[in-house]
Amino acid sequence: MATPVLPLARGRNTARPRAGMSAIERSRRRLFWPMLAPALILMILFYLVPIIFAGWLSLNEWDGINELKWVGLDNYIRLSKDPVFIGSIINTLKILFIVGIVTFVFAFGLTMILRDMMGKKFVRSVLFFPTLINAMVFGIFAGFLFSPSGPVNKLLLLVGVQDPPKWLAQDNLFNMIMIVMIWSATGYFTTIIMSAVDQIPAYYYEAAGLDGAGPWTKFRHVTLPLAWDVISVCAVLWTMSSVKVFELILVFGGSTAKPPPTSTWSTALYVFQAAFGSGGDREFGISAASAIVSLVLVTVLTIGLRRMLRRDAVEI
Amino acid sequence: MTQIKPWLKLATGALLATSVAFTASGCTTTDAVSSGDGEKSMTYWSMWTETEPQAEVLKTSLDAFQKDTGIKVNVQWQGRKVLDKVTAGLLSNDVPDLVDQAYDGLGPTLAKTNQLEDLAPVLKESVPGEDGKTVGDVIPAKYFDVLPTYGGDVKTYMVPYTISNVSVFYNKANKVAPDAPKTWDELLDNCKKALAADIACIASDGDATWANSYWFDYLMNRNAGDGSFAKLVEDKTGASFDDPAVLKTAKQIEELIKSGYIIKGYDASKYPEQQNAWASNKALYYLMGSWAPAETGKYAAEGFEYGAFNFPTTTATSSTANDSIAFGFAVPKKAKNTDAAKQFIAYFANKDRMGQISSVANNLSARPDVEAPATLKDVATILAENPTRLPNDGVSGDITDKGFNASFEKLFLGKLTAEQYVKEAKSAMVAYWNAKG
Amino acid sequence: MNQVITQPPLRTETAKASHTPKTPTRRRSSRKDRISLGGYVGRAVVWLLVAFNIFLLVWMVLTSIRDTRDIARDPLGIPAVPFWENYSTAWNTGGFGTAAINSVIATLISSLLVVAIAAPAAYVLAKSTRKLSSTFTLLFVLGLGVPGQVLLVPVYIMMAKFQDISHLKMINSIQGLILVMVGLGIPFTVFLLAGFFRSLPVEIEEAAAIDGSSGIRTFIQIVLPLARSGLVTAFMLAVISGWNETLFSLVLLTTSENRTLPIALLAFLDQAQFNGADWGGLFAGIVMVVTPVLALFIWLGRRIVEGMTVGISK
Repeated sequence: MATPVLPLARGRNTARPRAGMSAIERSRRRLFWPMLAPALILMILFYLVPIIFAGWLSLNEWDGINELKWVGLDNYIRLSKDPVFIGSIINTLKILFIVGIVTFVFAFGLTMILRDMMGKKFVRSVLFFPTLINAMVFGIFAGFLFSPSGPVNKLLLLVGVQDPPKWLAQDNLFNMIMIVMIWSATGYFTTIIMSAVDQIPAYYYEAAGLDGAGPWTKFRHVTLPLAWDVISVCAVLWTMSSVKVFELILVFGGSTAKPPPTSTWSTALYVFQAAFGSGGDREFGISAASAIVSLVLVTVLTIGLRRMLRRDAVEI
Repeated sequence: MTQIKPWLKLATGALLATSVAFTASGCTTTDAVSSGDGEKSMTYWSMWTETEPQAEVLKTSLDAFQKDTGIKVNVQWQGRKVLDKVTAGLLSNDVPDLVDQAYDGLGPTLAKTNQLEDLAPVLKESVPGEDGKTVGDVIPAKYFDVLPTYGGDVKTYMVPYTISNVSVFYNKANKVAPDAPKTWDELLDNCKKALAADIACIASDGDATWANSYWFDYLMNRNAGDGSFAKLVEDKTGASFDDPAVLKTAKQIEELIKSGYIIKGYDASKYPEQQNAWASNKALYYLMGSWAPAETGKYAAEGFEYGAFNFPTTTATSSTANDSIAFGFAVPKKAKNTDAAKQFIAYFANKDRMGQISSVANNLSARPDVEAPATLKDVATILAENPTRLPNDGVSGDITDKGFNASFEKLFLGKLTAEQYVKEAKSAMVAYWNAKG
Repeated sequence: MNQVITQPPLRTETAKASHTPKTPTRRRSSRKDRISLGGYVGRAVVWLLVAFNIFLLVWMVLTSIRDTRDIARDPLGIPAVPFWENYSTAWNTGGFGTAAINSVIATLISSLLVVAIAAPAAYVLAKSTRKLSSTFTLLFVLGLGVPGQVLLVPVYIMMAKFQDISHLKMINSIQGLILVMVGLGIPFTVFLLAGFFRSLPVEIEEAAAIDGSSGIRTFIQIVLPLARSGLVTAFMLAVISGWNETLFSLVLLTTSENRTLPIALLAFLDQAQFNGADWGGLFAGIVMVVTPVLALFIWLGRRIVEGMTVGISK
């Protein structure tokens, strides 16, 4: 769950050349390769080679046992016709945009509320905590809490709701998954945005206050523009982690030892099911092809989002 | 400099620890399990977890086998996902001599690609301790005849030792409708009685589509005969959906839903919630695999008496075939000690040994002459008296998971009318086969 | 993407330092703003959310000491008598005992290794002025964006092939999983540590160099101790992600003696077919998965939060 964080995309160059550095510089040069090599080799072995391998595998048909069969782009054509795969892409996009936007709105709301609140550190910690837990646990919890005769419905009955929503019904399942995601991600993004907002000097707000700005105007004209860089980095972060969502869906919709319903699959689930699913068929080619598609998806989305958000920042 | 020392210590400590860990773990090789020279041995990868009663039963027999034959047995209790491990092993030439799973695991994963030995000769082997009786004599031929080959060349790729089936379970001690229905109309009548007595008729968990689709599968079988489900979903043109029997089946399911016979909240529950509700007498019937009694034992109401009946017939000429799900042994072709593995299969077929599957693990053994556990007496009778078929006519799991289930789910959850369902299911199946290329 | 690499994640020390003087100003401004009705509603919502999160934890612990039958009857109840058997069942027969030990071993060793391998690389990348180093930094940063599922099948096949050639157990072995976790953890750890190294003052190294200390000695004796807060943070984050790793473990590990906790949890769910679900044992297992992370968070929460959000805050 430790989501990697990208730094801001503006920079001063830290390695300033200085007088008298040549000795250090020389010894650094000598140490460059020996110190870098182990990490670099692992990087090549676990990232570069597998990606190239996946690309090649995606052009073949293979069950992991018999000989490989070259099929060219057939796997991609099959994917484009597979409604389950299309559905998994749509679900991934839903996670990215719907969950992403709602989470950001919540995170900003919480930041505004927490700004002047007592015990904000405590609150922030409690809300942050779900980020660190294996999402599988929440999948199991949700099945308990929202079952027809479960605690949530019992509480609703107490306040007079006779006919509670069908939380775990098949066509609600994905919405429930998204709600759980929003709940567990909000704390993390609140923390990031809060620390960005904390850096905004108070006199900006005071000046805006003197001009008669209300809370919304302050938010719109002070907070948002000054925290914009952080928001754009958060968006990239969210893009990367939304494509990876796996454990929650695996356990949320799934009965024992059976795959979750296809209507809830994300691309990660699709890749896993095609290669290692309980159906028995091992389609490594299809799996690799869908993995490549998700890699392209995350790349395009990341670049696109950064472009889009950067332009907005310029306007302000 | 003194400040630095603890850190140096820590750094060296870390380095030391990691290097020790590396060398220590570096010793774990694939060769570690290979036996000493001359000594006979075999490896068995099991679908059970070490602590399950089925594992206890097998352990007893494996120990005895080792004592009787001198063949050293190396067991790995892999659990249900054992076949994943076998496929991984095939990739690195590390395969067990004996493995077990259900036909619908062994078939598509291994038999399809001709990775399993033909076990037909094992059926001619005599069972140790049962003067002259062969394996084929004690395990009914119908369990072998029904095995689908999934396009592979070998038919007899597994020897079952435990059989599950799918039938309608009910509490024999219930007051509402103590008699088991034989026909669909009788079942519907009993459903009315259940509603009148203020309990649900049928329990079901909305998310367990694999189990709910048994209703469609059985009804289709009763309406259109054996093999009709396979014909329906394997038809790449979708034309089979125009068969009036499909609409009839869909309408029968629609009736169950519209009449409110299925337990309230089924469309929002997570397996095994409603299964447990059934065991506590909140619903009359439950269509499920014969593992249901074992799974619900802990939740059963006081005085609950497990009973089962074969799925009702819909017409006078309906098939009465009953779903059987065989779990058994298979021997990978690439294994090194296939003879020892086959020897154990025959050894375990002995009545006393296989009988423990019933007496200790409370499952049904593959031998009809073994007394069934109390909760499965009816199931044993159903299996003995009716022809055998496979759930979903044995079509591969991918067809149902990715093609059939999504539209069926909507029908079963009341989102589609029967007519809408037929239309949608047809196009979904065509799309599935289209994507298969 | 290009600019990403040149910007160091700001070090926590700076963030902390800038905190102190600012707090009073903020307090002053807050006194001026009257809390509006909306503010009260907002606060109520926040406290409800906090209460819910805490309730979940309490409920999880309470349920883990209740009898399964009891849980099924009323999922919200409070145990009349603590039913500790759940833990012994989970630990012994549920396989969570072995799994917990495996998880600890795999997590600790892989986290130590990943920090040990990433630290030198991060150091040279942060300090070198070579053109090459920015290319490599970009490579590591790009690695951050690669979803695990892309690597799943190829890594699995490569591990199987490697096992075939080397006869070292890679599939279904903890050492194989450790190797994968180290490999996959490299980009994030290098990236994180590079930020810490960049923020270190150059002067001390210069002084060391003038003293005639060799590069490697400077690194071990001077740079590493200075960057210890960064190293500890990187280690903690590696521990958390290793502890929760599911996708690769699910594919690589199968036998009960090699399972890690998340996989044991899944297997426990699977086992419900045939032998019935044991909710009490399941919750005991969940507690085992959650508690170590919770303890770590209570103990070193600030560091974890900063590590995961560092570089975002200016």
